[in-house]
Order: sequence, then structure tokens, then C-alpha cells
Amino acid sequence: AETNQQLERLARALETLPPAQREVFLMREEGGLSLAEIAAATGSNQEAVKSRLRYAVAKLREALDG
Amino acid sequence: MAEPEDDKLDERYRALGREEPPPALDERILDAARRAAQSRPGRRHWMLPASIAAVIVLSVGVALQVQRGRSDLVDQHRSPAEAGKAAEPTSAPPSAPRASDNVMRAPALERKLQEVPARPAAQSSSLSAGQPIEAPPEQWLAQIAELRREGRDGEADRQLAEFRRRFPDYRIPEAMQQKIAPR
Repeated sequence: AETNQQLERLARALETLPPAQREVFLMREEGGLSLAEIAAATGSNQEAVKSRLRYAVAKLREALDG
Repeated sequence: MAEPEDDKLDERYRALGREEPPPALDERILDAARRAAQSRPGRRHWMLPASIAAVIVLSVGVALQVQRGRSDLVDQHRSPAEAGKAAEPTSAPPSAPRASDNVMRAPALERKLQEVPARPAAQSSSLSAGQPIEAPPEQWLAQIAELRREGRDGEADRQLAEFRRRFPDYRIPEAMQQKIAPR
């Protein structure tokens, strides 16, 4: 039950992420792209991609931990 | 590449993709689906034979209608033909008494048959003069009379000669003979 609640919180948090952060997170998790590839695909630089990914991971982790 | 702290997040995220409904809920849905499938076997089973039977009945009906229509058409065609056949014996006899006439007309017929091959050349001249081949004799004579009135005697003579070749046995009325006779 707790696992299901965690998953539910994680899914909700993913939906509430800003689009840019969600995009970067999904491209990495689902597409397995590197930071350089994500930067090239989104037209950004690697530093911006790394920053968005860090913010996204932080929010999702916070939601997971409850 | 991922940070160590991300492993737990990755694991939970993967779990999101593999999320399945609770087993109890899954079983309830499957039971409902089975009941729905089993509750209507009769309807599905008799619909197919009923539709097949309907198709057969319609096909037979259409075939019978077509057959009746054909027989009606045949009867319609037969009745006038039979009337014609009944009338043929009456029309046939004229050919029998005409046998004697045919003997007399043979020379005329022979002339016609002999002149037929040459007719195309003559017809071209008559056609060029404006005389149709299928014109009835009376009309042809009227045209010859018109040519006489117009003073076109040469053309009138040619037309008259052609007329006599075409209709050697035609009896020209006296009044018309005066109109078409050469001057």
C-alpha cells in the first residue's frame, strides 16, 4: 500500500513538473539520451539541461519521500 | 552517469511503467467480461442461421420472379408471332397465285437483277442530281415533272430513263405522262 502511494505521488509530481524539466527527465529516463544529446535535441546547452534535470530529480525525489 | 541518489528514483519510475491493477479488481473485471460473453450465446447462435435462411428465401423469391418475368415476355412474343403464323397461310396463298405472275414477271426481275450491279454508277449520277434511291415512284415522277417545268429537259430525260429502269412495270397515270413526256 505504501509502495502504491509512493507511485501515486511520483506520478502526480511528474505531471506537475514544468514542461522543460519534465521533457528533460523523460528524454533521459525513457529515451536514454545523454546530456549532450538532450541539449542538441532541445536546442539548449548541456549546462541548462543538467540544471533542469537536477531540479526535476529533486522534485520527484521529494514527492517520493513524501 | 546517474547520481547514486537517483537509483531509487529510477527504480520507482520504472515501477510506474509496470503498474498493474490490484488482483482483486482485475478478477472482478474478468468475471464481468465472462458473464457478459456467456449471457448472450442464444442471440448470437440463432442470428447466423436466421440470416442464412433469410438470404436463401430472398434468393429463391428473386429467382422465381425473374423466371415468371421471362415466361411472360416469351408469351408476349409468342402471341403476335402465333397470330402471324395464323395469318401466314392467308398471306402465303398470294405467293402461290403469284407463281403464274412470276413467270410473266421473270424478264422484269431478271432485268432488275442484271441492272443492280450497274446501279451504283447510275445511282451516283441520280444521287448527284438530288434523287434519293428510296423515293417512291410518285415522288420521283413529280420531280421529273418539275424538271420539265423548269426547262431542264436533259436532266428530266435522264431521270425518266432511270425511273423506267428502276420501275419497268410501273404504270404512270395519264396526267403524269403528259407532265413528264419529252417535249
